[in-house]
Amino acid sequence: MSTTPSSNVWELRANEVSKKFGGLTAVDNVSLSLKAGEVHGLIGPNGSGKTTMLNLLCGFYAPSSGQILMNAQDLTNSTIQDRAFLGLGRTFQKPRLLPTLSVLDNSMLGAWTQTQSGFLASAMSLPYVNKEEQALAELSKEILHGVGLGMVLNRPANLLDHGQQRFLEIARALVMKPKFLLLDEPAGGLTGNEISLLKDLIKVIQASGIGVLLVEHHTDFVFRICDRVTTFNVGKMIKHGTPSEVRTDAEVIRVYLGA
Amino acid sequence: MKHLNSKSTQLFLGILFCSSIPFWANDQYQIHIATLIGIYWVLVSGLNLVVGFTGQLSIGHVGLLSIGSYAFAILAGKLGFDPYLSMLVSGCLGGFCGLMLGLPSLRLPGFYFAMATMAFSLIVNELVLAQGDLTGGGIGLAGPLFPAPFESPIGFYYFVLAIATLFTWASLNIVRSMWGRALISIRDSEVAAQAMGVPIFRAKLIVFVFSGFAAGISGALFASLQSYITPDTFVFELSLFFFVCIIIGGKGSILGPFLGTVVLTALPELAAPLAKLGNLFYGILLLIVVLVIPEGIGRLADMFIQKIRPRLVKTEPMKPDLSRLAQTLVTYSDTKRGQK
Repeated sequence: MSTTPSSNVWELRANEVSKKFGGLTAVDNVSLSLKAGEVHGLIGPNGSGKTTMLNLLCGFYAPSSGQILMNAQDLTNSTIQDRAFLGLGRTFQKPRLLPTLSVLDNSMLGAWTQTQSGFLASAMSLPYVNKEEQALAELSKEILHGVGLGMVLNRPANLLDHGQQRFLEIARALVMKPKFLLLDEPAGGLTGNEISLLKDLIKVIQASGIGVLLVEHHTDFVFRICDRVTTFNVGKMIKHGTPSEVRTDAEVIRVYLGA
Repeated sequence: MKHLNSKSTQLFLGILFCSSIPFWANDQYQIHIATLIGIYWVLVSGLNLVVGFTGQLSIGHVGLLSIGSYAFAILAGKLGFDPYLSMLVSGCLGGFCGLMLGLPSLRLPGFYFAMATMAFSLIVNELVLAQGDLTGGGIGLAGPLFPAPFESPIGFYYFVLAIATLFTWASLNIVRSMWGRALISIRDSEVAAQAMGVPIFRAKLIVFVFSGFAAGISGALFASLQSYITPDTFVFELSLFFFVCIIIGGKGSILGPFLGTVVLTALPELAAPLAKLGNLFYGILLLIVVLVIPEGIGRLADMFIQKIRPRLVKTEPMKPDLSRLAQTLVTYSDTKRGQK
């Protein structure tokens, strides 16, 4: 595996990426980058290609043209799983949890990339398997307490309310030990209070050196916490810059923000 | 261990109870049924990981059972090899055939995978009939006994109990490990599984090969118990029977499918009138379970308690501990990343 440079050098890039679904061009020749320790917002009207972009970055779609890179490594043809092992964590627009498993078990699934134990060793419950399991459980508990789910460790995920489910997805992605975290509308359906908790969480995640990509519709939330903001419209990037630059851009106001 | 693990305690009490059966059973026939349940359970415990945990609807495991049975009858009976070794070889052959079946079929979506496994079990039976000089064709083969002390019905029962315990223990371990979570993630949300790095096809294949191994071992024991096997023994209905045991027991449970195996094997045998109506009985039971207790009989007690005293779920507001999170993330990112 590649040598690990100090954490602030990591960069995830999309180079002139396009994605066509039949005759529809969902993402049209877009380049963007996500650096370690920054929060990069992706905004735009519905159907403008934000989620498609996120899926291209983490491997659910292969680009029709262009490249996805992590530092010098070309990820364009690597699988979702490979990218998870390289440190790409994500959450989903609609939380995808394992409904019958506990909060703790759900978050521990994120530790798959950290697990060495093979199937037969696990079947025989060898001592090193148990030791590894315990260490990962400890870590997951720390992260769950950190995101505020410490009081419901043993509750099945289907009994959580919506906000808790969203936070559990973030915890699960953090257990993956990610270099980059791609959040697909994390504030969707949250209460005002929960959104402010989410803001604090993202700040802490950012400070730990993880690069956060934020696909979001709550524009004031985005403008408050992002270092850079990219605006999409019908698959094209129309404006990229600091929040204040984007907020005052005439084109962005016309297609998305409104006067 | 400081405190008693409830699952382990349950398992221990279960084994204790099963060990006592020969002391109070009324006749040899009841011992025979108990042994048969144990043998079926070896197969079902493996199949349960495939169906109940990974969500892959295999209805072809009778083919793997048949392969294990014939391998044992040929190796230990016709060729006179050591029965224990033959049993192990039967298991490995079952695992190998599981691999050969899984490689092309496990990429198929649910229903098509079920059809592929069904076709496999039908093909195996035809091949057994066609290869008469090896398998005895329609006449069949004798299944040899294990050597003393396992040659008597009671001795053999304890032998089967030991092996069934081993498989129960192994599947309990799998379910409680990282692999259990990965298998359930494949069942419940493939996209989440992928995003977490779970290699879907490989994980399915591994667990399918394991179930093939269990089916092979089960087949060897089955041949020895039945003392004579013919292609008529391995009808497709038996495959459905294994599948129904798991559905009635409930997905994502080990106790449930075990109870399913016990009930479906024992009830028609012990209540004589039901034996004539075997398939009708399965059908009715399946309907009742699916309509009334879709969670499966493994959760029956749980559901009952819920009805009487519903568990209240309080939604407390979340209180993130930001300094703890920051601390964890920073120390965590300094440690070496896991590699596979």
